[in-house]
Amino acid sequence: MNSQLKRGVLELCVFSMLYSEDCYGYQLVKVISDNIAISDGTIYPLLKRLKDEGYVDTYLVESGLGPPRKFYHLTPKGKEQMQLELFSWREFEKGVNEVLRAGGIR
Amino acid sequence: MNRQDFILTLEKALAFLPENERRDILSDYEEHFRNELSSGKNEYQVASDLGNPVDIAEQYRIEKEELAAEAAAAPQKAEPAPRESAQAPPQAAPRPAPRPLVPPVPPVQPVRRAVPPDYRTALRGPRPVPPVPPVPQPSHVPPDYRTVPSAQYRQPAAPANAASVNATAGGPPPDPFEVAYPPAQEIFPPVAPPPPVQQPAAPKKRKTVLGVIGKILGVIFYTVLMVFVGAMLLVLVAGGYLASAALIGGGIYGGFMSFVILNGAGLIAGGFLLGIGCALVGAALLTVMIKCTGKLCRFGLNILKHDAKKLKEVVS
Repeated sequence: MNSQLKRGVLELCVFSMLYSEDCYGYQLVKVISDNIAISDGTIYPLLKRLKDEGYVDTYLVESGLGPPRKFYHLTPKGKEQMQLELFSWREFEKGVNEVLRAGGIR
Repeated sequence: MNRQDFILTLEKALAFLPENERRDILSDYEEHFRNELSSGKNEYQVASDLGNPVDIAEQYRIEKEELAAEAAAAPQKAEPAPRESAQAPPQAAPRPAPRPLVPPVPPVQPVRRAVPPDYRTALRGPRPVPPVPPVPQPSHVPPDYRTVPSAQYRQPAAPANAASVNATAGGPPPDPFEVAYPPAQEIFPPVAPPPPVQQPAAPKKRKTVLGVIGKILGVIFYTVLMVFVGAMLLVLVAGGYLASAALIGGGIYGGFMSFVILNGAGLIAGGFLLGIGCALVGAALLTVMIKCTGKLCRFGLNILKHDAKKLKEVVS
């Protein structure tokens, strides 16, 4: 899978998971890697970049056992970015389908 | 590779990061290990699911470099920004741009352009106009459909797909909003007007029967009324006779004079009123009777017509 494309798709996945509620890193990694064929380690660098770009915030929540968990929260800027990526994803999807159809594949 | 190996390798590979960032990242992976181990996996499985720590570190390095490049581009962007915004309206004007979601394109592009075009760069920059043709053909791809002349390739495609085929041939990319839908008539075929509902004859017939009964009742009522009126008229005439006799004079009637005159006058007045009433009622009665006979005639005519039709059918 093209790494640029994959990264964009993963970004969108993270955004969409954080859209309704905050999650901690492990949750995000599990849900995404259960559904998309990527190695678990790919998502943590992505999360860090999203944080550096200001699309997500993090905060620590004390858990019963062990060290506190790092939760991710989608910022307004991140929501904006998500809208853009969602739009371009839909456009991309539509374009691919068009080309497939032109090639006689349904 | 077990957990310790993984963390150590990653830590070494992340040497380019400052201490605090590296600690932060490593704690993420420590947490990941904890969660995975508590869900029943062993360290080796978790490490292999995570992937090569060197690759992961490489990813962090790429992200960091990109961020740095963007940060470096930011001040450059700050200067042309005012000019850019002044130019923006005339630039935006010729394009109808049916995409309200996409804001005016930020001029950060030059940096990001280094990566191959994908839908994300398409989003951020101007649309990548001819991305397809210059791509060198990989040798393992059979040349069949790519070398086929585009005209032939276009031939079997449906007209709705012409735009997208154009795009593969290097033309302008199709506007995703210009989807050729079939004309509305194909989706909604014109509805045939419903056949005129045949009014069943039964209610009409019932109506006429009721009407006939009503008419018969009316006729009976009016005959009774007329008999009564006739009786009253008789009384009136008799009273008039008595009155005139009394006025003419004496004889046998002399004794009753005063009574008869009064009585006769009363009778005459009553008779007049009754006469007027009877005339009115009679007129109304006449009109009704005429109407009734008309309807009866029509009814009879209908029956005749019906019979005639039947006759015709039988004859033919």
